[in-house]
This record gives sequence, structure tokens and C-alpha cells, in this order.
Amino acid sequence: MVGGLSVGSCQSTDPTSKSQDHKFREEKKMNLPLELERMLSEGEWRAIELAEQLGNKAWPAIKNGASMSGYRSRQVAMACAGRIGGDTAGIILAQGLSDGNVNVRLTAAAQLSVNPPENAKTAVLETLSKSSELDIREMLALAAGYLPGKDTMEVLRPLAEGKDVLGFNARSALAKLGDPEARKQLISSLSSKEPRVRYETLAQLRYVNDRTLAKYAKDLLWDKASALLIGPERNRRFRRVCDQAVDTLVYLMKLSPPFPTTAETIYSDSELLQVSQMIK
Amino acid sequence: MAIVKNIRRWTRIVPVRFARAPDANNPDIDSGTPDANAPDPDDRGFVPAQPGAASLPVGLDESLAEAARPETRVRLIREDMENGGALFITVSDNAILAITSPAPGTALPGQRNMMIKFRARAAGECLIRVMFGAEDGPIIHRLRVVVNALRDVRIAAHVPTINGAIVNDSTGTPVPARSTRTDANIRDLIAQANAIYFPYGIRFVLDAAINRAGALNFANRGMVNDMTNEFGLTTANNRVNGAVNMYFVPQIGSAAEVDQVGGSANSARGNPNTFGSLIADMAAGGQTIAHELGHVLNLVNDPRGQFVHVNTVNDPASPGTGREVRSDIVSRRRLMWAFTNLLADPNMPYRSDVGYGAGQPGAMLAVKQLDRDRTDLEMREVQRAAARLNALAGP
Repeated sequence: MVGGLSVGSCQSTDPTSKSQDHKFREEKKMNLPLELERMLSEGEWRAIELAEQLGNKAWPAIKNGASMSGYRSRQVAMACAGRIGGDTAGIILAQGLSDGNVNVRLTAAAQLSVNPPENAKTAVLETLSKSSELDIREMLALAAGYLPGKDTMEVLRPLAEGKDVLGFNARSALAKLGDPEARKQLISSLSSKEPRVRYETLAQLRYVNDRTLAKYAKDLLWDKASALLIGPERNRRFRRVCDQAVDTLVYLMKLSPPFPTTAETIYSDSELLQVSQMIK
Repeated sequence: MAIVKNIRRWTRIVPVRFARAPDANNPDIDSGTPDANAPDPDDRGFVPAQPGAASLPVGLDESLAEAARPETRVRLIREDMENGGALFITVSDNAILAITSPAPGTALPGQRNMMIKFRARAAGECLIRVMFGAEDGPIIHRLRVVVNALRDVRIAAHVPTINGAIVNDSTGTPVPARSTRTDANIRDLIAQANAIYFPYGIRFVLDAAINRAGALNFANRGMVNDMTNEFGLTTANNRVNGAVNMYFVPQIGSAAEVDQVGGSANSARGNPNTFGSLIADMAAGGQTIAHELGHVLNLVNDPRGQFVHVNTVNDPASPGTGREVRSDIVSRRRLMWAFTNLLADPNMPYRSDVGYGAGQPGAMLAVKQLDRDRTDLEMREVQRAAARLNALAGP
């Protein structure tokens, strides 16, 4: 092709263009908190990524969002707060637990279940002990495991007697907090005759996140019992106890195996062998 | 209250029972399409399951003022008692719901099939009680009502182009590369699925824009073979995190399966990275969408991993939907029944109409846990799975 500049490579000859472009970008950046507030007012989920990008500069908009009249705005504000974390998030998420709309309460509980700020502790424990909403309590039981203290143990202990998901989560939280009885129960669950129980318990070892527990996961590295059906309904395959053991060992021992590990992978014998050699 | 019934040795007397009310005004109508305000009572295992009553799920949109909330309806049927017996309705907790029909202090009409209407006030549980003779008369029946606040589940819809070898459908027409569905049709399907899930406290919220930009190169044009890695490749295409990604495609399955598979999905709990759903153009109604969304929300949640649907178990010798192990009329009433239609049975015609139209499987999710049935507690599981879609990724 002969002649002319292609559009893609066209350069402006205007010396002021670069600085104007820079100024435009700067102005746009300055307005990002406003853009976040707009997104929150419209309940747009994309606000979460923008809040994360803005970091601490996002808080004024998130605080406003958390008290907007539309529940979706408040819900997205909870997700934004959880994504950034820290004390301000703790205040907002604690407020979210007592919101009048279940979606806001659930999103707050879901965020707290993974990374709860210390200042949300009172709200977490109070909701955990008083709420009638089971799904929220199940998530807050996991949150409690990150919040040590005698008061946490007192709330968790009666819940841990249950045989349902809430009881299982409460026992895991107690184990994470170092409760010897809960740890004993957790370890004994790894010997359950039900493969699914062994599988789920191995996953909870990652939540407990204590490297000394890795030896128990190691014992199940060759446990090939079928535990969980994965894949689409017409092409189901069983994930085995040993597959979960690999994930748990990689997490607890910070291993870097030469193959990808995911929650949906069924590992080959050679991959199992490689992991067993890495932990010798 | 005269009860005339032939008894040989022993029989259980059922003076009245509760049933779904498909028609808003006519309590004599037994069958009809799913309706958000006509929930199906889980009346299985009446005696063994606590609290010894059928369980009625009711949705509650907290964002609406009480007066703006729709009325929920349920029928009361005089099964073994005469029509002349006076029956009154009371509620154990007026903070949970308010009866709107019959009016307070008014007896139900003296007819076999009667309509009860009420409005949800708050999430929680209470009992609707049937009193004999007077409002403070003896309780002869009761219904456990579970009012569920609506949990929103975000849906990102995709209509990708699928390139590959040309295959003809069952009419000899080449399968198109892209679904012919319009945005309006997709929105209508989601609305139909919402009518099914509303009583169970789930509302699917479709993103404003439907993504039609995706392109995939597979074995056959317009087809996603869910028995291969094409399923995972599809659910990874333009994936939106934190949402259920639903892909509308012309056909699902292999070239030998054209016009056979309406939908396919995997669980968000078991497949945290690839979960999603495929919907084929042959899926005409919201029941298929609702069924696939049930899989996404972790149904059937059998801890031993045997049941794929309420009536089929996993069996490598029966690839596809699994091996059928039961075909009772209650299973046929459930949303997670494996098949999209019910074959007519000339000897037992009642088996092909379970309350949702002739030949149509039902839309009920189990509220109760019956002894040893590993397909139960479906309502709780969909709520749990929906809640966790909001959580940050854990370890």
C-alpha cells in the first residue's frame, strides 16, 4: 500500500495535544469518585471494580451508597466495602447486617464471611446469635472464626452442636480459633466413612489455615473415593477426596506444583505423585 | 361435621386439605401454568415431617409497601367432610401475614373447593389454621406458611455465534450459527422462571444488556456439545463474575442429538469457576430455564452424589440425564424432574397432569426434609447457593 498515514498510526502535530490529553485524563480521574457515586445510585455492579481501583478515595461515595434509598445501591455499596476492606468497611458492613432488605444483609454477611474487619465483631456476633435467617448465620459463623475472643467462643459453642451446615461452620470456626475439642472433631471428620464429609472437611482445613494440619490432608492424598459430582448435568464426573487433598496441601504448604490447580480439576495419578513428592 | 366414608380395617380421615390454586378466581380449577402468587404446597409425607402439615412457600418483595404486594392464594378442599360444615380461617402470627379473603369472622363458602387469599407482611413462619364451627372453634387442619424475602440473583445473558460444520436439525433445516431469540423473548423466559422461584425467595435479575458479541469455534455450527469441553469453553466466553452466565444457543449436544436437549447447567457450588447454563432454542417455556437455574443453584444436592434429578441417578451406563429410578406423581410435580414432558398414560390419565397442564412436569421445590430422601430441602439449598454468589472468593 502506498501513501498516507493510516488512521491507527496517525500522530497529531499539535504540541498542546499531549498536555490537553493529560489534563482530560486527570479531570476524568478526579471525577471517578463522582462516577462511582452515580454507579451506586443506579445500583450498577461495575461499581465494585471502580471502588477497588479507587481504594480509600472511594469511601465517601460508598458511605453515601450504603444509605441510599434503593436497596440495590446499598447492596452494591456493601460489595464495594467488602472488596476494599479495613475499618471503614467494618462500620459499613456492620450497618448492612441490620438493613431492612435481605439482599443488603446477605451481601454484607457474604463479605464478612471471608475477610471481616475487627470492628464488625459486635455486629457479627449479635446477628449470629439473634438472627432467624439461616443462610446469613451460616456465613457469619465463618466470619466469627476470624474474630478471636472469649465472646466469640461463647456464641459459637452452642451452634457447633448442630448437625447442619451452621453447626459444621461453627465447628470449623472454633477450630480456626484454636478450640481443642473442635479441632479434634474436625480431624476425626477426616476419617468419616462418608467420602463427601472427608471432602468437605479437607476444604475447611484451608479455612482453618493452620500449616500443622497439612499432615492430615497428606494422609488423604491417595483417597480416591468419589465425593462430589461436578460438570454439567449430562456429563457429570466425580471429584475425589484426593483432589480436594491436593488443593488443601497446595494452599496450606504454599506449594507451587508444575500444573494448574483449581476447584474443578480431577488430578492424574502423576500429578498426585508429584504433590506427594513435594511434601515428603 | 358428618363424614361419610367406607372404611375397611383402617383408613386415614382427611376432612380438608390445602392445594395449589392455579386460577385466581375459580377454586375448581386444578391445573394451570406456574404463577408467582399460587405456590405449590409441599404436602409430601404429611405425618412424618414436622410440623405435621403441608408447607407453603410464599415470596415477599420487601421493596414494595405492604398494600402494593400481590395477594397469595391457596385452595382448601373438603376431601372427606360435607360442604355444609362451617369453616373459618385464622393465622398464628398476624405479623407474618394477613388474610384478605375470607373477610375476618366470615365462614368459608359451603362448597368443596374454597379459595383463601392473604398478603405477606414479613419474612418468617406461621400457621394458617382451619377452625370448625367458629373462629375460636377446634382446629381441624393447618398449613405451615414460610414467607421468604426475595434474594436477587444476577443473570448475564449471552447469545454467542458458534462456528463449525453445518448440521441439519430434525426438519432438515441447517442449524443457524446463532440463536434466533430476541432480547424480548429472553426477558420473557426469565420472567417465567421468576414466577416459579418467587415463592422460594429467589428473583433473577437480568443485566440491562444482552451480550451478542461472543464467538466460538466448535465441532458443529450453532451447537454446544455439553458432553465435551465445549461446555466450559462456552461458560468462559465473555464471562461476568458474580453473575449466573446463561448462554442461549441454537442446539445442545452432538450432531446426533439435534432437537433433543433443551438445557444444560452445572452447579455454582461444585463448579465455582465454570458454572453457568446453556439454553437451546427448543426450550419454549420458563420451566426449562427454571430447571437449569435449579442446577446452577446446586440442585439436586445429594450428599452422596447419586441423584442427578429427583427421579434419576448418576450411572455411567446411562449417559445423559442418568438412570430413572422413580416415576411417582409427586416426583413429576417437582421442578427438578429430569424430563421436559410427561407421557400420557391411557390407564391412569391423572399421571400426565400433575397440576401444571396436561403433559407438563411441575415447578415445585421441596420445602421439607422427608426421612432418607436425599433430594429434599431444595428451597433451603437454592437460597444458600444464591446467598453465596455474593461472597468474595474464599481459600
